[in-house]
Amino acid sequence: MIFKKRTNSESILHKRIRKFKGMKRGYYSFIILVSLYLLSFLNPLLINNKALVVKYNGEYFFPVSKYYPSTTFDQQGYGEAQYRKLDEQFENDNSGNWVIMPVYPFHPNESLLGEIDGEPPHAPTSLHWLGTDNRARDVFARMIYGFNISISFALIVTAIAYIIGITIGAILGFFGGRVDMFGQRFIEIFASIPFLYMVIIISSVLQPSFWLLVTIMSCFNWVGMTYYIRGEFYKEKAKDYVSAAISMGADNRRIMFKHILPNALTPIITFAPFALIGNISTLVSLDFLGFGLAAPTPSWGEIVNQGISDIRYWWLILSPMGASFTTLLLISFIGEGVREAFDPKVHSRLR
Amino acid sequence: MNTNLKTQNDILLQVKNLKKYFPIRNGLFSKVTGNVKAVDDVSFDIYRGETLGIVGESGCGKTTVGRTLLRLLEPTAGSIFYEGENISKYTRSQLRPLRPKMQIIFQDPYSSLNPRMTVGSMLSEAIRVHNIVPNNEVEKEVHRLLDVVGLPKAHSTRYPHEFSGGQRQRIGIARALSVKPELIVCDEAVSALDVSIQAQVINLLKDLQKEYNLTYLFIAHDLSVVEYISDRVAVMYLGKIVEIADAKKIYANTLHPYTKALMSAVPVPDPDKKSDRIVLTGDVPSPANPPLGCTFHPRCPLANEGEVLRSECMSETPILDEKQSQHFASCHQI
Repeated sequence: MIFKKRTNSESILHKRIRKFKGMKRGYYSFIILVSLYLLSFLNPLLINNKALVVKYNGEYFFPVSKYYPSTTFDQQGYGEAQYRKLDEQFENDNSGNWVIMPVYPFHPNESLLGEIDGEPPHAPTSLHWLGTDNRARDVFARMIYGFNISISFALIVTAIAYIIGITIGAILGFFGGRVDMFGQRFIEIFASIPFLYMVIIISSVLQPSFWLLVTIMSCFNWVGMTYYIRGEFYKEKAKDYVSAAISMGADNRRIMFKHILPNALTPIITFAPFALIGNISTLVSLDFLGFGLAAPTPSWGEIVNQGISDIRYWWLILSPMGASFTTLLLISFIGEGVREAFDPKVHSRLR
Repeated sequence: MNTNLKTQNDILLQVKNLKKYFPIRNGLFSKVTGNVKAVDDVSFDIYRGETLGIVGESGCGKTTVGRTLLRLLEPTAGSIFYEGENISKYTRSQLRPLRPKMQIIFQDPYSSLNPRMTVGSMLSEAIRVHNIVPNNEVEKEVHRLLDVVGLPKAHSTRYPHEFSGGQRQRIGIARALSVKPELIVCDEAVSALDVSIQAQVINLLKDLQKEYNLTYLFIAHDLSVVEYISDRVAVMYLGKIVEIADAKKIYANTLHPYTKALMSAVPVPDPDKKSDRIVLTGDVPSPANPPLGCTFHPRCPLANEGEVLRSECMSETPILDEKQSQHFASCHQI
């Protein structure tokens, strides 16, 4: 084993990945979160009111990918076929027709007012695991769809904000002098614009769509990263390997992004999980205040807002709280693991 | 190389009145309140195929000279002629085609290699940027370079942290050689290594010089190392060259009082030999505020003879004169 190790050389990044894998809590959190997130892309197949397969009069239909009016199956009513009812009907008929429904046959945006007795919100039952909200929409379905949207949103915002922040920080740190001086002052002025008010003003004029909200958030989120990257670039550019690259005739862009940036990745990677947490929390709070994603989009904050209005509907508070708590906890564990993996003080025997 | 045969055509690099000042900034608006005169009016020539050693104590501007020559630092004034072309005012893009001809080997073998790049990618980068060999031969060339500096081929996939200081310095040398340079500035290239490794690396540098007809500017503070490798030696004190001559001449017949003091400090491996060390009084003055006249006069035994400071030493800056044939020194008293 020792001999094998000697012949394979390991980059610093590989070493850190290996170290991260050794951090059980962080690594398992990472696996759980990533698998849940990847699984949530299959939501339409798992949590939906549209049937996966319908066999009707010897023909096969795949309603998940195609719209069929109710008349296709000689069903009563207008609009799209009601597959849950169809399922019941075919089972009673014994006509050889059948329907395969998703595991959890409710759509997050579908009102179940006609199917459940009583006024919404309905308390949790074995059929509706987390009950319904005040528009009789299934809360569990909304939680799961909201998970995918929250993580996607946070990932995209973090990525865009990082690209902007890293580029600007790199320019400030690498060129220094007057560029740095004026750039820093500009950033300070920019950072003093209150983010929440900007979002409120923009939302009152425009209906915030997913991408508009991503753009607004990215525009206000890059500032923090510039400080770290700027500092790292200041530190790294004074090292001799940069002088060596200059004397080899490498151009500025190559030096900045091929030579210095890989050495300045530590703050980027260690802050990423916490930036994700920040962005998820911001989305939840914006949704809570009603300035987040447009109305029918499944979101955690909106459900909390409903729950706050009447404390008796405990499932409306506890479900989104539990969902965001679990998600943020998993990401915190990942962040903690990453931070440990990047800590050069490995050999400390005090730990 | 026989010094008598040196002609104008043999000059590879010529430095004329080079100055490099680092401004001292103060106050709210970063007003320049003074200058650290790291290199102050230095002129010298480097002939093709020779090794010019630069010695001096720490802070005398040796490294700054080396870095300014490569335009890693911008000169404040003066000109640098490379094969007759004044490169001191070249823009970065003008300089790029010249870059492969001048390379540098750094003092610190730890910070001079990018920790995120394998040895192979480090060596191949410059080869690719300057199209030194066709793309399909890059790997072969990398292996050849490693072979030249005495490292096994397999090391090309390794990262710098897997090497010792001496091995790293060899990688630094291989990197400098990768672009087939004419001039290599060895900026204290062996100072960070222990003595046995120093000898290996110096012999490697000497062999490479013979093989590729390289020209070295060898910066060091170790006088015996410089004597061993250099054809000519320049001695610097407080940003100025105080003496420059053939290595043999300067070691056998020292002229400048500062060089004499420096030479007397070289340890001699003979316990019976009586040390006649010249101990200078005082400290090196601040390069931000150098003494008027000859910068060495406050510590100079010649200027202070008879308890009276000689007036020309205090008021007039001495020029680098040819005191003997091919032996230049800047001193009023010799």
